[in-house]
Amino acid sequence: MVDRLEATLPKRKMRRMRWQRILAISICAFFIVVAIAAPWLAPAEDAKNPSYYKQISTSVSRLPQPPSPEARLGTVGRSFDIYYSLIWGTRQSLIFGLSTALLTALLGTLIGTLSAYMGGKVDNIIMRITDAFLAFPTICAIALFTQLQSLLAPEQFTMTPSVWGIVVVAEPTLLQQIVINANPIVLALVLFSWMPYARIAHTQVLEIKKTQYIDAAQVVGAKKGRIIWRHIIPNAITPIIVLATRDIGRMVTLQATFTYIGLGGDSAWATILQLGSKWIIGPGGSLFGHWWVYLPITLMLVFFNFGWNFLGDEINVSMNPQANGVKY
Amino acid sequence: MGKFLVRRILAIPITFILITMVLYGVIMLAPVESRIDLYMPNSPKISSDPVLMERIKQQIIKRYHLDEPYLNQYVFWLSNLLKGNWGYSPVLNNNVLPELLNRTPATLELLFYCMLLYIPLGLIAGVQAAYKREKGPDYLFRFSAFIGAAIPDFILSIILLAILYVNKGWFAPERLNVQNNLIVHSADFINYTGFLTIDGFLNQRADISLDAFRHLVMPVFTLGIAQWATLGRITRNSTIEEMNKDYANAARARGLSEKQIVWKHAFRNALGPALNSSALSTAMLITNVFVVERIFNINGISEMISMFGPMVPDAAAVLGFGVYCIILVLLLMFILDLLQALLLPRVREGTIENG
Repeated sequence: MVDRLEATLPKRKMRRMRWQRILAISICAFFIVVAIAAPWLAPAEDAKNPSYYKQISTSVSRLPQPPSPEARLGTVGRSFDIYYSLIWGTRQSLIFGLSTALLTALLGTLIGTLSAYMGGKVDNIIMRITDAFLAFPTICAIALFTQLQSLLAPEQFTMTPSVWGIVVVAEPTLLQQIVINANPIVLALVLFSWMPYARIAHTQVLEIKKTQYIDAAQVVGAKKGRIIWRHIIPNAITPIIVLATRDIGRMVTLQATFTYIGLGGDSAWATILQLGSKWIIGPGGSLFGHWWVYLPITLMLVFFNFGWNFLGDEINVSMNPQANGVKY
Repeated sequence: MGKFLVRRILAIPITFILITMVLYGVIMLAPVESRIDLYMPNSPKISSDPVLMERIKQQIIKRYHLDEPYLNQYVFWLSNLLKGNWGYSPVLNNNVLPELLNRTPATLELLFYCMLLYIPLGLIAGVQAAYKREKGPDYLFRFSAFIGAAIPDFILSIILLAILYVNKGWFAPERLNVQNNLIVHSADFINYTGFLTIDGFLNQRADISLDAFRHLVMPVFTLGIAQWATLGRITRNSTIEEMNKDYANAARARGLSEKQIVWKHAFRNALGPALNSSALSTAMLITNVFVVERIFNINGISEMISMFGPMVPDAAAVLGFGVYCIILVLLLMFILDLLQALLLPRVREGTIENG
């Protein structure tokens, strides 16, 4: 059984891997091209400060209109152009996914690397904190930060009438200003999803620390920062890149989900879906009566998630032949 | 088993304290006035007189240490939490704790049926795929797991609602239909467990139970499919890993059939990683539960955060919600650890320290 398996596997796997890699790269490249070419694919009215939505007429009719020359994929709600939002939503989602995944990966890697490098009690405490953070649902973090923003609303600062009728004016501190101005979804996702990165970086660094070239670097007299930056991070980075690539898709999906259920966030894709949600389940429940309301954007979302997950898998397989393709 | 469980139990309060510290720390960023609700007496009449209101607020700040350093405030707040004083929510116009407890059964019911389905089905599918690897069933499993994990919950739910609710009318969102909802809220109907599927039978109203099941199908499916896919994939991978180990080869040499090796040996050892990863992704499961609750309009715990719009300040509700979610996550993690301790031979006999 085992012999037969080993004899048949390699050839077949080579073939499977190749088309998967081409598919993964082409899906991701497609999204990147669309994001870059957005101004040409769907010209914005205000080129300098493009909005994610466009109304093609002043009609306030809530009826979705089928595809026409003005709106290539039809309209929804108060004649919002779906094609326009689909193109610009791609740019928005890509920027959002890349930036949050990058920030999260940086934060997690930094924490994990430092913790493992310090070792001992500090390491123990930081890893305990990491485990604790893992028990915190993302949705709570998002609720927390959207709430915090409303708790920090401007009126809380400008006028605080006290018992004696004196108006106290307080200035927001730097930390408060950051919270006020940041996107609560980005804040919540970055601050509460770095834990897997920290864990991976931690185990990687502990393994690398045992190797001889780190000893050699220490003997030569390299400083701690240099050892971490030049030797440990480059060697520990592959699994982190894999995770971050998958996270690009995951973050965008999460953003769209929270926008759709109305918990904050401003995903253009999900906003259009939300506008058209009454029409998805069209009259009589016919799924294809108003297909343009949901199908194109849904496909974009699903393929976005697909593509980046796929790419993560492929990076994993190519960087780490032992992964064997079974470690998804 | 004892050692393993004791270690896991000891980790629970540490996690709880660390997370609540973070929660309170974040809310500390807001001005003092916003935390007054945490200690507000539950009587809306006070708010009619602004001068009196202001005086009461100042008193609360003094009395409940709201202008003191972080650690003092935190300890005071935590001890109040443990006493059952979770604060007053102006949006819900009630104390936070009873509001949370009222909404718990709906969430737990959804979660319970979801776990009841996805854990066994995920394990079975994973092991079966490993047994038939690189053959038809394996490809089928991998394809459906891939689809199940890649389609976002809210898109799946839209499609399900369109086909099964609007078009076919087989299943429906919410918890019950209108008539049954009236019956459930009448005085004759006794709430034994809060689970409508069970209470219906206990009240000799089997039709209510069936109706509750009918309304649970779509949320449970939406929620379960992604969980099932993840668990199945991990089980499959770790079973394949186990089947390549020496003991499996030894069993083959003794003449055991591949089926026996998979189900009697490899499966048991593969359970560890599978259940462990489930325990680690409990927080994600809870997030998904709330998303599904919102989409299917189930009045569970997530109602606490959807009631206030984005710009209505309500520190007590959001803190209470956060704390309650952590308790839920820790409880679920503990149940999964317990399951692991009961099922895994190595953990049960205490030969390994950490599962």
